[in-house]
Amino acid sequence: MAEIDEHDRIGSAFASGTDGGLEAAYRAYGAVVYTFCRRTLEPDLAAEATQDVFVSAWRARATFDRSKGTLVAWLIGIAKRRVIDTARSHGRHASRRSPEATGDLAAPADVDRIGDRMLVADALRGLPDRTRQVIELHYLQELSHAEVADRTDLPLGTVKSDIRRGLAKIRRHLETTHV
Amino acid sequence: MSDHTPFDATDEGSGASSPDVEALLRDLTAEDLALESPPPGLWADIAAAAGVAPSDPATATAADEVATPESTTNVASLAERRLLKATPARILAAAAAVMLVAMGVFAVTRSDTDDTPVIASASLSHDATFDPAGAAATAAVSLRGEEETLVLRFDEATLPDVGGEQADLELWLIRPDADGGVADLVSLGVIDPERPGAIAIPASVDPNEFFVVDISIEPRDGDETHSGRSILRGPLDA
Repeated sequence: MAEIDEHDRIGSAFASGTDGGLEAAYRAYGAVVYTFCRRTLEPDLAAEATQDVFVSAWRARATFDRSKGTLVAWLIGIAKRRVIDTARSHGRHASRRSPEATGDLAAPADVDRIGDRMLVADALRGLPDRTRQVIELHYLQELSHAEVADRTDLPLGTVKSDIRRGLAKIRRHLETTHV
Repeated sequence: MSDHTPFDATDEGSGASSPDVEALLRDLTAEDLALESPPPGLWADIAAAAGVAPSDPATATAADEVATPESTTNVASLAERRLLKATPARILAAAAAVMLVAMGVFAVTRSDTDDTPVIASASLSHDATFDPAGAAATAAVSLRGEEETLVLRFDEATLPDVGGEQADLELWLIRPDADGGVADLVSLGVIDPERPGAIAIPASVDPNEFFVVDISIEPRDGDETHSGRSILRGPLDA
């Protein structure tokens, strides 16, 4: 799985339109984008949405500014809008048939939050093992810093600085000001 | 000693609209942590629509293997998909804040020949999010039909001794949900780290559904729910 620094290389190859740049981006982020789409859409629609995200991203790659954020955050931003559009048009179509068949209309705020959480989860996967473990124990398993220190046999100061560094990396992973 | 990270508001340059990462982390569910592989062939569709030629046939196939943790195949099997990262504390009762010191480790290998047919087998492994007392633990189990009972037999096991902390090792079968989280689980009882042996599976439990094997540290506190302190886990595979 790509480490956080590897993301720079993939973003760079994508932005410059290098041969294999789209493929590398798909290998690294295809599953994240697809999984995000699946949270709201059925498999067929999710696959279609994923395809549209990558194709339109590739066509618009000149507008991807690496200094403003990561490629994966940019892709998820495109995916958010695509999912909302699909859910909306699908729901509108369905509601003509019957009031009950409204399907799963995801509110934009919910879609937004799901996308952000998936980026956080993706960032977690790329963290060094110890940092990831400390962050998971503190935020996901809700242990205090002292409890994390006990559990991992690390000094309390190390736990805190691991968390600080890990959060900074996660923030960078989510960064995008393209919207 | 304050429990709060002395975090100041200065981010590394994110704009005013940067999301609250700590809140997002706290809201993460097992579903968020699970990754699903896109259908095989999607890359070919993308490449065609984008007007990008795969550099060679090998690359075209390889691109279907999108990055999913612990998975190198197109089909993300239910068991591979993030079950190892499912956070027990969210799914099960909150872990008791007991400091556990693993005093000893027992290694067991079955030496007798046994030709009861093996229906399925599982390698159990430790994950970084599990209880550290299990960091050196491993186990290999096989599902066998013995007369009219199904049993889960330990073919190999290196398990920590937790008796000194008023705790036991308990064996579970988990039924995962579609996203790799825990939909249901059943206890197969306490196991002896020195001699885990073979454990009968109740007739009411279908190992085709409850196919993820889990071993946890359970304090003797009268609480029968899973403590959240898994040490080993792995899916049964035919």
